[in-house]
Amino acid sequence: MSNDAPYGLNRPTADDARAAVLRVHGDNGPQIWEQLVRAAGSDTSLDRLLPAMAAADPTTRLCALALRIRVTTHTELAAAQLTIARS
Amino acid sequence: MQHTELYDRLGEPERMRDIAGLDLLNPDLRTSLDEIAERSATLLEAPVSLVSVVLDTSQLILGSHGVSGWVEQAQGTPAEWAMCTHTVLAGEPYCVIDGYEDPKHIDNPFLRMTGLRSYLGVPLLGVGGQVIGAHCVIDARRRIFTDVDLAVLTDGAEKVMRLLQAYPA
Repeated sequence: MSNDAPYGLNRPTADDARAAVLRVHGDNGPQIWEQLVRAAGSDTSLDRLLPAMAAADPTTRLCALALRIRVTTHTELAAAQLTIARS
Repeated sequence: MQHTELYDRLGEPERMRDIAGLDLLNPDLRTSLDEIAERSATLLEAPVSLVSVVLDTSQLILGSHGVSGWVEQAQGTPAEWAMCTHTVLAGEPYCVIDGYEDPKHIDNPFLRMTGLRSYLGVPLLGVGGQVIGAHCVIDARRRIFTDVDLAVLTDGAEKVMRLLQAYPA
Protein backbone atom coordinates (compact mmCIF):
# COMPACT_ATOMS: atom_id res chain seq x y z
CA MET A 1 0.00 0.00 0.00
CA SER A 2 1.43 3.36 -1.02
CA ASN A 3 1.70 6.30 1.38
CA ASP A 4 0.82 8.49 -1.61
CA ALA A 5 -2.54 6.75 -1.92
CA PRO A 6 -3.51 5.14 1.40
CA TYR A 7 -6.29 2.63 0.85
CA GLY A 8 -6.33 3.75 -2.78
CA LEU A 9 -7.21 7.33 -1.86
CA ASN A 10 -5.33 9.95 -3.87
CA ARG A 11 -4.91 13.51 -2.61
CA PRO A 12 -7.28 15.73 -4.62
CA THR A 13 -5.76 18.02 -7.23
CA ALA A 14 -6.74 21.20 -9.06
CA ASP A 15 -8.07 18.98 -11.85
CA ASP A 16 -10.47 17.39 -9.35
CA ALA A 17 -11.62 20.85 -8.26
CA ARG A 18 -12.27 21.80 -11.87
CA ALA A 19 -14.21 18.58 -12.48
CA ALA A 20 -16.34 19.28 -9.39
CA VAL A 21 -17.19 22.82 -10.45
CA LEU A 22 -18.12 21.72 -13.98
CA ARG A 23 -20.19 18.85 -12.56
CA VAL A 24 -22.33 20.81 -10.12
CA HIS A 25 -22.86 23.94 -12.23
CA GLY A 26 -23.82 22.39 -15.55
CA ASP A 27 -23.73 24.94 -18.38
CA ASN A 28 -22.47 27.71 -16.08
CA GLY A 29 -19.51 25.60 -14.96
CA PRO A 30 -16.84 26.89 -17.37
CA GLN A 31 -17.63 30.53 -16.56
CA ILE A 32 -17.56 29.91 -12.80
CA TRP A 33 -14.31 27.99 -13.11
CA GLU A 34 -12.69 30.89 -14.97
CA GLN A 35 -13.75 33.23 -12.16
CA LEU A 36 -12.23 30.91 -9.57
CA VAL A 37 -8.95 30.67 -11.48
CA ARG A 38 -8.77 34.47 -11.68
CA ALA A 39 -9.50 34.72 -7.94
CA ALA A 40 -6.79 32.19 -7.14
CA GLY A 41 -4.18 34.29 -9.02
CA SER A 42 -1.13 32.93 -10.76
CA ASP A 43 -0.88 29.86 -8.53
CA THR A 44 -3.75 27.53 -9.41
CA SER A 45 -2.79 24.74 -7.03
CA LEU A 46 -5.57 23.15 -5.01
CA ASP A 47 -4.32 24.95 -1.90
CA ARG A 48 -4.96 28.31 -3.61
CA LEU A 49 -8.19 27.24 -5.26
CA LEU A 50 -9.90 25.96 -2.13
CA PRO A 51 -10.09 29.39 -0.40
CA ALA A 52 -11.43 30.91 -3.62
CA MET A 53 -14.04 28.15 -3.82
CA ALA A 54 -14.96 28.60 -0.15
CA ALA A 55 -15.64 32.30 -0.83
CA ALA A 56 -17.74 31.67 -3.93
CA ASP A 57 -21.43 30.79 -4.39
CA PRO A 58 -23.10 28.27 -2.02
CA THR A 59 -22.86 25.30 -4.39
CA THR A 60 -19.18 25.87 -5.08
CA ARG A 61 -18.63 26.12 -1.33
CA LEU A 62 -20.04 22.62 -0.97
CA CYS A 63 -17.50 21.35 -3.51
CA ALA A 64 -14.76 22.98 -1.44
CA LEU A 65 -16.07 21.30 1.71
CA ALA A 66 -16.12 17.93 -0.02
CA LEU A 67 -12.57 18.36 -1.30
CA ARG A 68 -11.32 19.45 2.13
CA ILE A 69 -12.76 16.27 3.64
CA ARG A 70 -10.82 14.25 1.09
CA VAL A 71 -7.63 16.24 1.72
CA THR A 72 -7.90 15.76 5.49
CA THR A 73 -8.72 12.07 5.13
CA HIS A 74 -5.71 11.60 2.88
CA THR A 75 -3.41 13.53 5.22
CA GLU A 76 -4.55 11.61 8.30
CA LEU A 77 -4.31 8.17 6.70
CA ALA A 78 -0.96 8.85 5.03
CA ALA A 79 0.47 10.00 8.38
CA ALA A 80 -0.90 6.92 10.12
CA GLN A 81 0.67 4.63 7.54
CA LEU A 82 3.99 6.41 7.88
CA THR A 83 3.86 5.86 11.64
CA ILE A 84 3.12 2.16 11.17
CA ALA A 85 5.92 1.82 8.61
CA ARG A 86 8.47 3.39 10.99
CA SER A 87 7.49 1.31 14.01
CA MET B 1 -9.63 10.67 -8.31
CA GLN B 2 -11.75 7.94 -9.86
CA HIS B 3 -15.37 6.95 -9.34
CA THR B 4 -16.44 9.65 -11.77
CA GLU B 5 -19.85 8.13 -12.42
CA LEU B 6 -20.66 8.12 -8.70
CA TYR B 7 -19.59 11.76 -8.31
CA ASP B 8 -21.68 12.74 -11.33
CA ARG B 9 -24.76 11.12 -9.81
CA LEU B 10 -24.21 12.70 -6.41
CA GLY B 11 -23.25 16.06 -7.90
CA GLU B 12 -26.39 16.61 -9.97
CA PRO B 13 -26.91 20.40 -9.97
CA GLU B 14 -30.49 20.28 -8.67
CA ARG B 15 -29.51 18.04 -5.76
CA MET B 16 -26.49 20.16 -4.85
CA ARG B 17 -28.64 23.32 -4.93
CA ASP B 18 -31.06 21.67 -2.52
CA ILE B 19 -28.18 21.03 -0.09
CA ALA B 20 -26.73 24.51 -0.66
CA GLY B 21 -29.99 26.04 0.51
CA LEU B 22 -29.25 24.95 4.08
CA ASP B 23 -27.10 26.62 6.74
CA LEU B 24 -25.14 23.43 7.32
CA LEU B 25 -22.34 24.95 9.39
CA ASN B 26 -24.62 26.65 11.93
CA PRO B 27 -23.31 25.64 15.40
CA ASP B 28 -26.78 25.49 16.95
CA LEU B 29 -27.95 23.17 14.18
CA ARG B 30 -24.89 20.97 14.69
CA THR B 31 -25.54 20.71 18.43
CA SER B 32 -29.15 19.71 17.87
CA LEU B 33 -28.14 17.11 15.28
CA ASP B 34 -25.54 15.67 17.68
CA GLU B 35 -28.35 15.23 20.20
CA ILE B 36 -30.51 13.37 17.69
CA ALA B 37 -27.59 11.12 16.78
CA GLU B 38 -26.91 10.41 20.45
CA ARG B 39 -30.59 9.58 21.02
CA SER B 40 -30.71 7.17 18.08
CA ALA B 41 -27.48 5.48 19.18
CA THR B 42 -28.80 5.07 22.70
CA LEU B 43 -32.23 3.76 21.70
CA LEU B 44 -30.77 1.33 19.17
CA GLU B 45 -27.82 0.37 21.39
CA ALA B 46 -25.36 1.16 18.63
CA PRO B 47 -21.87 2.61 19.15
CA VAL B 48 -22.10 5.05 16.23
CA SER B 49 -24.85 7.22 14.78
CA LEU B 50 -24.54 9.86 12.08
CA VAL B 51 -26.54 12.64 10.50
CA SER B 52 -24.90 13.54 7.23
CA VAL B 53 -25.32 14.99 3.78
CA VAL B 54 -23.59 13.30 0.88
CA LEU B 55 -21.93 15.91 -1.32
CA ASP B 56 -20.54 15.22 -4.79
CA THR B 57 -17.28 13.61 -3.63
CA SER B 58 -17.59 13.31 0.17
CA GLN B 59 -19.97 12.59 3.00
CA LEU B 60 -20.20 15.62 5.31
CA ILE B 61 -21.08 14.67 8.88
CA LEU B 62 -23.41 17.26 10.43
CA GLY B 63 -24.22 15.48 13.68
CA SER B 64 -22.67 12.42 15.26
CA HIS B 65 -22.25 10.12 18.21
CA GLY B 66 -19.32 7.77 18.71
CA VAL B 67 -17.12 9.11 15.92
CA SER B 68 -13.36 9.32 16.46
CA GLY B 69 -9.99 9.24 14.69
CA TRP B 70 -9.62 10.30 11.08
CA VAL B 71 -13.38 10.41 10.50
CA GLU B 72 -13.75 12.94 13.31
CA GLN B 73 -10.77 14.95 12.04
CA ALA B 74 -12.16 15.10 8.51
CA GLN B 75 -15.78 15.49 9.64
CA GLY B 76 -16.66 13.09 6.88
CA THR B 77 -15.47 10.38 4.54
CA PRO B 78 -14.88 10.03 0.81
CA ALA B 79 -18.24 9.43 -0.86
CA GLU B 80 -17.15 6.07 -2.26
CA TRP B 81 -16.45 4.80 1.30
CA ALA B 82 -19.58 6.23 2.92
CA MET B 83 -22.28 3.73 3.80
CA CYS B 84 -24.79 6.58 3.60
CA THR B 85 -24.00 7.00 -0.09
CA HIS B 86 -25.88 3.73 -0.63
CA THR B 87 -28.89 5.05 1.28
CA VAL B 88 -28.89 8.26 -0.76
CA LEU B 89 -28.64 6.43 -4.07
CA ALA B 90 -31.33 3.92 -3.04
CA GLY B 91 -33.65 6.68 -1.83
CA GLU B 92 -35.04 4.31 0.79
CA PRO B 93 -33.85 2.63 4.01
CA TYR B 94 -30.64 0.70 3.45
CA CYS B 95 -29.39 -2.12 5.65
CA VAL B 96 -26.15 -4.10 5.85
CA ILE B 97 -26.22 -7.07 8.22
CA ASP B 98 -22.51 -7.85 8.00
CA GLY B 99 -20.23 -5.72 5.87
CA TYR B 100 -17.39 -8.23 6.31
CA GLU B 101 -19.39 -10.86 4.44
CA ASP B 102 -21.34 -8.64 2.05
CA PRO B 103 -19.58 -8.59 -1.35
CA LYS B 104 -20.68 -4.99 -1.87
CA HIS B 105 -18.89 -3.81 1.26
CA ILE B 106 -16.21 -6.36 2.07
CA ASP B 107 -13.43 -4.16 0.63
CA ASN B 108 -14.72 -0.88 2.08
CA PRO B 109 -11.77 0.81 3.84
CA PHE B 110 -14.16 2.67 6.17
CA LEU B 111 -15.43 -0.59 7.66
CA ARG B 112 -11.98 -2.19 7.74
CA MET B 113 -10.33 0.75 9.48
CA THR B 114 -13.09 1.49 12.00
CA GLY B 115 -13.99 -2.09 12.88
CA LEU B 116 -17.64 -1.35 12.15
CA ARG B 117 -19.61 -3.96 10.22
CA SER B 118 -23.41 -3.48 10.24
CA TYR B 119 -25.46 -0.49 9.10
CA LEU B 120 -28.98 0.85 9.00
CA GLY B 121 -29.69 4.18 7.32
CA VAL B 122 -32.75 6.14 6.29
CA PRO B 123 -32.73 8.90 3.67
CA LEU B 124 -33.09 12.61 4.40
CA LEU B 125 -35.11 14.70 1.96
CA GLY B 126 -34.25 18.32 1.22
CA VAL B 127 -36.72 21.17 0.90
CA GLY B 128 -36.71 20.65 -2.87
CA GLY B 129 -37.53 16.95 -2.54
CA GLN B 130 -34.04 15.67 -3.32
CA VAL B 131 -32.43 12.91 -1.25
CA ILE B 132 -29.66 14.94 0.34
CA GLY B 133 -28.27 12.64 3.02
CA ALA B 134 -29.02 10.03 5.64
CA HIS B 135 -29.49 9.37 9.32
CA CYS B 136 -27.91 6.09 10.35
CA VAL B 137 -26.60 3.81 13.05
CA ILE B 138 -23.51 1.65 12.58
CA ASP B 139 -22.61 -1.30 14.79
CA ALA B 140 -19.38 -3.18 15.42
CA ARG B 141 -21.13 -6.56 15.35
CA ARG B 142 -23.11 -8.54 12.84
CA ARG B 143 -26.64 -7.34 13.34
CA ILE B 144 -30.09 -8.00 11.94
CA PHE B 145 -32.00 -4.75 12.40
CA THR B 146 -35.69 -4.97 13.30
CA ASP B 147 -38.77 -3.04 12.19
CA VAL B 148 -38.66 -1.31 15.56
CA ASP B 149 -35.06 -0.21 14.88
CA LEU B 150 -36.19 1.19 11.54
CA ALA B 151 -39.12 3.00 13.13
CA VAL B 152 -36.84 4.63 15.72
CA LEU B 153 -34.38 5.74 13.07
CA THR B 154 -37.17 7.02 10.81
CA ASP B 155 -38.49 9.08 13.71
CA GLY B 156 -35.01 10.53 14.19
CA ALA B 157 -34.75 11.32 10.48
CA GLU B 158 -38.07 13.19 10.58
CA LYS B 159 -36.73 15.28 13.46
CA VAL B 160 -33.57 15.96 11.44
CA MET B 161 -35.52 17.10 8.40
CA ARG B 162 -37.67 19.46 10.47
CA LEU B 163 -34.51 20.93 11.99
CA LEU B 164 -32.79 21.35 8.63
CA GLN B 165 -35.81 23.19 7.26
CA ALA B 166 -35.54 25.60 10.20
CA TYR B 167 -31.99 26.54 9.13
CA PRO B 168 -32.13 27.95 5.60
CA ALA B 169 -28.93 29.45 4.18
